Amino acid sequence: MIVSAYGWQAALIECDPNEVSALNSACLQSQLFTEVVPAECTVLVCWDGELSIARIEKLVSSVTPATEANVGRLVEIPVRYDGQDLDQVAKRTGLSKSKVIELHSSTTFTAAFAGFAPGFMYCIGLPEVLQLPRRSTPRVKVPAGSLAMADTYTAIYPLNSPGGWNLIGTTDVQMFDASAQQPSLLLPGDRVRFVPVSK
Amino acid sequence: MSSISFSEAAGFITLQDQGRIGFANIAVPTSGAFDQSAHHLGNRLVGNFPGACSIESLRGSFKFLTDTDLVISVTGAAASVQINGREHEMSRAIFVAANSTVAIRPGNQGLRTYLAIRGSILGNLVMGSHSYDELSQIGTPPIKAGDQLSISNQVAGSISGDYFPNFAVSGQAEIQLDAKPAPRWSGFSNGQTLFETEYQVTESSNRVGMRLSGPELIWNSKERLASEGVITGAIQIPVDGMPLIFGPDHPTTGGYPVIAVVSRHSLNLLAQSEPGTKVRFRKAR
Repeated sequence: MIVSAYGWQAALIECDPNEVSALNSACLQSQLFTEVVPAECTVLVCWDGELSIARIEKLVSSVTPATEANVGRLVEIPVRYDGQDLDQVAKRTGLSKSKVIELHSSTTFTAAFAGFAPGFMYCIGLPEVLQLPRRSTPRVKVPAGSLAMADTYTAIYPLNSPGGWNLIGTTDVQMFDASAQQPSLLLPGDRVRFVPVSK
Repeated sequence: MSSISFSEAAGFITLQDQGRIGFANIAVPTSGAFDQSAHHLGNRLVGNFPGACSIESLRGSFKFLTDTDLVISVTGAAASVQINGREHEMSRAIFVAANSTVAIRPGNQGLRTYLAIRGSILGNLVMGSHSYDELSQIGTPPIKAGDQLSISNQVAGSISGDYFPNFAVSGQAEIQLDAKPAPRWSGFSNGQTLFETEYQVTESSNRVGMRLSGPELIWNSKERLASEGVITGAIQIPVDGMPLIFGPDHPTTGGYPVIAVVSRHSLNLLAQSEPGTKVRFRKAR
């Protein structure tokens, strides 16, 4: 892992994608940082006061993917596989709709990192056959609770927003609630399963 | 509880404090006062805790009536401060008697004026902060005519008799910013250009980011950079090669490379820099 200073009170730690989760946990547990922001193959850390890069290097040196034995919580989210793009997805993947649903709902995903909007969590683990590019023309409005896929990710839109991902379902679960003690249902590192329901 | 009632509010007028700390991992920006030096000075003058809220006015005009005695301060970008029609100075504590009207009008220098009230202004406390976040649209909504805000009585210390007449000089025509090369610096083929030429603040600037124009900065790699965490003050270079400096309401992750990061003091200067301001970067270690 490479630790590089990022401005005055932050550092960017580069690692392998399979090390992000363990590195994220180690940084959180150290209680040294005001922010710990995992992404695809980096973890950004921010602090107040003085902290040396050497101190952070020491912290990360003990992190290996193996310590990921204590994996994140398993969160199950009930969804209706009724998305507007489901027919298109079936056509483009050459699979039947029921096969798409079966594949997606039998996968255990990992919430890798957040971005785009509060509580929007990029989940990894999408079977290769379901990996499709985003739509050529994004939608102006995607309703909150839409289950979507694009590239190597799946995610639920937590709020009404524009969006270019392929919509495959909907959930009634509130993904983000700013007034809640824990505003985001998903946190980086959580394991996620989508459970099909009929209504 | 004591309160102030707004009879006029025109422009982008929001409540800001120290922001939301510790939520970047769920894509919630820090937010908070853009010009922190003006915001902190204002709170210090009236004896508030550092975490107190102030009104951040982007060249807005507003007028409020108070139902209680107040001590206020106005700092940051030049503004006219009138109490019951009489002009008062900026950058010092001012006593305001109950049933008085306070009117703030923008001046001709700088962008963001801060108004602090002894005891702190209260808005909607969302995730530990009253701040309005322009990107996620959470926190206290921007102030409009007819709004009423409560004033708390949580003070940290005495009112300051200090006066900072020169402090109001913000929003110069030319600014120098201290910037440290960021981890992706070496991926630019002409990174040194950032420190050798002049840039200008453009119209497309807000609390999310300040867009500059000037010589193009060229990212070497053809490969897509994986999304990574970004911080306030990061200078991101999107596909057009023009610097975008992240303000307090910036997105928490981004896929365009960051060439350098400006200092906290530089951000305070940027918060007051109107379109057309000339910008030079100085390399910091």
